[in-house]
Amino acid sequence: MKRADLLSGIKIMAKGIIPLVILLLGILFPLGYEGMAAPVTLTIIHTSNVNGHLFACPS
Amino acid sequence: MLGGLARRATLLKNLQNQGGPVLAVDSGDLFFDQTTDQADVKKVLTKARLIAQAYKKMGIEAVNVGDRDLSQGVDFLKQEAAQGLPLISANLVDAVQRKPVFPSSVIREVSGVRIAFVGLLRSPLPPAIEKSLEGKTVVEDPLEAARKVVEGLKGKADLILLLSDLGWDQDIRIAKAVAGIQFILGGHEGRATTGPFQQGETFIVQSYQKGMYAGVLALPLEKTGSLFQDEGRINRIQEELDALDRRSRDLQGAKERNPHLDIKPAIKGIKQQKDKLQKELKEAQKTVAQGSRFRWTLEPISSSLAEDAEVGSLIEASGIKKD
Repeated sequence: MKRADLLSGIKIMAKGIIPLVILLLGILFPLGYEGMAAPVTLTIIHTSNVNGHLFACPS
Repeated sequence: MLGGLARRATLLKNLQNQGGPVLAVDSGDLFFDQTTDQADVKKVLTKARLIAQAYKKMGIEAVNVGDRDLSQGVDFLKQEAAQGLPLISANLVDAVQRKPVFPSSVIREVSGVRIAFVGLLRSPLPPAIEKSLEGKTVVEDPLEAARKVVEGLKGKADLILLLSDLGWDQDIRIAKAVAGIQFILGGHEGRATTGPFQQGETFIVQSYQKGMYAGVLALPLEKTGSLFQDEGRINRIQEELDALDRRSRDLQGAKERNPHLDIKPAIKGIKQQKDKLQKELKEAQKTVAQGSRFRWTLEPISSSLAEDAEVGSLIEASGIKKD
């Protein structure tokens, strides 16, 4: 077998393997991009008992 | 000083400027003092209207009705609700029709997560406040109301946060009896809690009193359905362990200065406490790693915060100078 034929065979195999690897990763890690996305953090600011010395500051 | 309200608006804007979603809420006892002299009614109503105006300007998402908010009757609150103040209460009902006077809850959707804020106030009311309702409005049992409203929110909300004016003991009672509430943002007594108290799957916090602090809850929304875990718990346990180590060293020092001193019982007690805390620490390290980690902090509304110009001009226009 010629060297060029061998390289061509490897290239064809690689073309087949790459989609297979992607498919396998998709099955193994179904969250994919969503799982890796930065989480959204909601900030809730809470007050109570504001009356009385309503506008006081911590001393 | 009047600036506290304007500083609170600044704190809110500072948090909003960080870019993430922010919701501001209030657990009640917002408008009136516990006792109001009838001669001062005009003055207290002016102040209450100013607070309502400022809250609307600040875009507060939900305001629970506290018992003290009823000290001038319910008409003032109805007027403010009609003008856009998002008042809520699940157990303040019309005496005849038994229908809630204000919505039981509000739901806000953030990043696809539906967050419900539910309001409750304590029952029975103090006699003076009861009298101001003139028998037209009554407060139903908060526990029953909580059960009913949480049941009604099934399928409509992903998270339920209770804005409570019940007080600490009643908050714990609700958390024990009603499943499905993730957080109780409490009030009435205005406790300064060092960290969230966990009762089952519910975390209970309070944000001190007199508007001197704001509680800030940083809540990850990426794992809805999984249990929340308090990120600060590990630090608090570690701080307690450090304090016990310091106490132990102090005792050893005292023993060196006075060899006759018997420190064995105290050292034994410290060791027992440390063993208990070490177990708690291991448990916390395990559980915190598994859940959605939230963070709770108390932010002082301190004089280092600038006064918000918009709220400042409302205060200026009201003519109120002092409490």
